[in-house]
Amino acid sequence: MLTRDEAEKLIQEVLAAYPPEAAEDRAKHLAVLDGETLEGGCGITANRKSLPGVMTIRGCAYAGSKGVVWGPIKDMIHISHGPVGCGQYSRAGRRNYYVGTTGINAFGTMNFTSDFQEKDIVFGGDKKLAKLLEEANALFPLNKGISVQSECPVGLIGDDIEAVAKKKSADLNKPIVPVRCEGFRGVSQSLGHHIANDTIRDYILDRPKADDGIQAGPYDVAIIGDYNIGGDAWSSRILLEEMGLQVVAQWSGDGTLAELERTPKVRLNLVHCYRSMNYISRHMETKYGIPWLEYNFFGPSRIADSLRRIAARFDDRIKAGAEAVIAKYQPMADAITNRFRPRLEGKRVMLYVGGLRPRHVIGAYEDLGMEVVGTGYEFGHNDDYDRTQVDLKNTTLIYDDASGYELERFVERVRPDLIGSGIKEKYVFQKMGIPFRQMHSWDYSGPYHGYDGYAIFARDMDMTINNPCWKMMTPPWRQPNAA
Amino acid sequence: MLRHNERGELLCYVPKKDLEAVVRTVEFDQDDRWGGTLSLANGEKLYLEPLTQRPLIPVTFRVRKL
Ligand code: SF4
Repeated sequence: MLTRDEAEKLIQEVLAAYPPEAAEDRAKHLAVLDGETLEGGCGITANRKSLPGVMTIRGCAYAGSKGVVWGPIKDMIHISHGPVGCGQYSRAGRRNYYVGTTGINAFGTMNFTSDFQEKDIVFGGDKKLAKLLEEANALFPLNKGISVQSECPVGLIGDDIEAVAKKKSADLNKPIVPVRCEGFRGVSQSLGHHIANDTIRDYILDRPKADDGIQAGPYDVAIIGDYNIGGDAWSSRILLEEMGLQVVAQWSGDGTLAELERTPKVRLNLVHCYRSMNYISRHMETKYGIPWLEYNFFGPSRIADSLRRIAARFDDRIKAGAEAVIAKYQPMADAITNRFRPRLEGKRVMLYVGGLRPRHVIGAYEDLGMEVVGTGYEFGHNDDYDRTQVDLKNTTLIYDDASGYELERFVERVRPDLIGSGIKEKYVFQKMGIPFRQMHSWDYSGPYHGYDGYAIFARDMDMTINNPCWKMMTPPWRQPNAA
Repeated sequence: MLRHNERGELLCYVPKKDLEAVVRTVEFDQDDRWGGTLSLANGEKLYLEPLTQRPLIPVTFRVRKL
């Protein structure tokens, strides 16, 4: 384990490589936490522009809107408006699972783009967009609506996508949502989440529509901020339904337009990813008086805790339901812990992920007897770091918007037994001889949420850490007994 | 924005600064006069023009930093 002094020395060492100005700036993003919760926040500066010249790992606002919030809404067509690359290179990479027939009534893994050419940049792309909207609607008539996700050039040339969307929305009689999420806006994908939340508010929730006559039930809830990576929302949903709640909407993994429209009638919004969906939760709280609750479905201790906190908002029937669910699954979870804990006990983990996992998965690792020695957010804000403090037990390195260089140096010195981060980091660390899991897309595995997810999570961590290949890292000519 | 947290404490959220902090004291806390200086748990103080009645929470205000 790292001591406080060692960790602080390590940070100084890493900063020493920077020119003085950059070092001063980066110093504000790095910290050591001791497991105690500080009143005024943990003193990390977050959500600031990355320094030019530093290899940041962040994405862009378009990624936050198209990739995260809007993309998984399966029965709408999401047009990547601009050049072809932004959409094509990110297509289906996030593994938001859904049911439906792709190309007929679901469009999640497809890439729609206006494929900007030079002439569109010179003469404007509005005409092309209008034509594209019509064409897409004619080819895929079962779509429930279309969103226009702007890429950088659209903002640079000043196209009026709002006007096109408004006109076509009236022509086609479907919601057409212009999203101003050009990649250059803001400092990371985080602003894209915010912009996307705001457009859902303005173009979906506020859209005048006939009353569907559906009466809200007393146990209606919505899952907010679960993107169904590898089926996460499904393994969460069954637990909520088993305890007696009715999940009427999933935002936005495996979600539909009708579900979004239905949400202002629910009793409680259950927020998993606070970072990407707190804006709309706050809006629904102020406008419709729907309370929201953050929960965490990683690892049995957090699941049980979350189920009880959710149940506390309802009557005794639901409270009894929650206890029954916990009682039913706890033996299964214990069996998993008993099986894998001896193989994983005491292993040290470093995390560097996105919006909720740097804190949410800590509980699951602790259930397996593992220790998180470093964690950080690509695009977290101060409120995320405040929430993180609560989850930390031992001395932990905290790094905000860490650069490739910083991560490598930290890892070299800390030598954790496992790193959880994204695809861009994966091969660097594997080549350094350290087991690695992608914690954005679950490394093509999942789900990791819920009790079913815990079984897969534990197996995957064991499979990665105790893989025999890590013993073969020394080439024969470096082995001591080589001739 | 003001709302209640899970423990029923008054919680203030300043979107511009991503600041979320418990409101420790409200200068005027009466049914017919509410607002004034709000002291936050992190030591900052905000000023809200006193209202003539207690607001229904959750609610969003424009406040000044003191
Ligand atoms: S930064 Fe701009 S060009 Fe790059 S992926 Fe994002 S929207 Fe596309």
